[in-house]
Amino acid sequence: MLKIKQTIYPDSLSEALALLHEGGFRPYAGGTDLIPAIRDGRLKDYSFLMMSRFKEELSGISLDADNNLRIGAMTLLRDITESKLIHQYIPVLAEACAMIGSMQIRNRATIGGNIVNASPAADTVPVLTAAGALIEISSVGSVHHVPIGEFATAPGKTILRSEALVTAVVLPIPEGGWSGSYMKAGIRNALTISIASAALLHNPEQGWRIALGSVAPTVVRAQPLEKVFNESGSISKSSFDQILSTVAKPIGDVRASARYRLDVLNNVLYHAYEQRGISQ
Amino acid sequence: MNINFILNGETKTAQVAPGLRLVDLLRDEYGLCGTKESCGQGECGACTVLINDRAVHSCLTLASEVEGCNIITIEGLSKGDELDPVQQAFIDCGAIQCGYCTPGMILSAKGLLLHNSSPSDDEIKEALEGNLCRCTGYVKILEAVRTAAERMGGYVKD
Repeated sequence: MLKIKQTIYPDSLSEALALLHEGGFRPYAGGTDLIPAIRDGRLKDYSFLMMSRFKEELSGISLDADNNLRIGAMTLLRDITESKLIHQYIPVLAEACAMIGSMQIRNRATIGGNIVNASPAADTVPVLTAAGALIEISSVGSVHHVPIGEFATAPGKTILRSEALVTAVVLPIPEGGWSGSYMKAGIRNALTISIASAALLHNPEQGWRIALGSVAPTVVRAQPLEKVFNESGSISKSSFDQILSTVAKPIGDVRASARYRLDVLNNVLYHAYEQRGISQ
Repeated sequence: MNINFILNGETKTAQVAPGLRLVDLLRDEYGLCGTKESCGQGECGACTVLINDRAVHSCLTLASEVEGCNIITIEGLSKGDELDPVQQAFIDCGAIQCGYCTPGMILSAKGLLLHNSSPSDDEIKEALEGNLCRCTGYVKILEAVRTAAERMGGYVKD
């Protein structure tokens, strides 16, 4: 039994937004981050607005006429890993989602939840950040979009107000789509929170995009590294390390020391850097 | 609140408190103790059940969330005395030692085979990555899932 005072089940998005506008509830999507937080006493809200009855309104993946890929916030991580559209336009997002938790978690967890939970180690966020995703935020009478880089402000903190819901992630897809890879280093292969992660995306016109997780209070775009990747020629590993250190400022904690996190990123990214001409 | 759902093929109605988890409902309300709580935070998989043929951690699912759903616990896999092929394969391959992880392992395997009758070894490992076993070292468990796939008319992809 968990310490929950009340759960409310609106039947539609509009009903949910009206209830959030009145106040007193915290949105609950898949619950796979929320339940451990409630159990540990890290979460003090005890009244939840459950999103499962209207999840169809916020689920699904589609490409619009302007080549924007829209992923509903309640879309399950499992569905993202299996989506034909995702595999066609940005397969690295499927790759990253497949590294989250376990099959059981991916069968309940949502992309919206991963973003709103705002862990600096959130595995969907580096890929979405590198791809320039927009977060769609809805409240009563309003829908607006925020670049994902502006959404999370600190570990566990976002600009999302209590009366609003994240309803979708919108990804502009450049001609040719995004190729790339997602690297996640953790204590084991599954059910692990990363100690360092890196999304590397490439598009023939847009060039390289790089975003790093678990090495700053939020996920960060690594524009100085992108510049290096996009230039021809070759820099030394020590120069590369120095540039990386201007972007990655990890802390040491129970999972890993700051030095180790940087070492992992240095090694993986420099290797990718050396291989970049070949992997395109 | 009141919920209506299907449990191991039977229609059920239950009155559930907001904080009641599915694992609590199954064990305490229905006495179905094949589903175990070990870590209580979605890290070990001992609480695994199928919701609409998909494996989930029942310790991370509120009971109120299963309104209208089809739940299968380990008790629901066998039909009378006849074991499900996955259960039989676990026995035949010696994939059980203390048995504590076994219901969860079997249901994760069942969830895989219901959607992918011919999984590769990697796909089998991925399907079971949310289930920990402290006894067997996993080798015989993987063999049991391969055996079950083959017996159920599929095969193991290279």
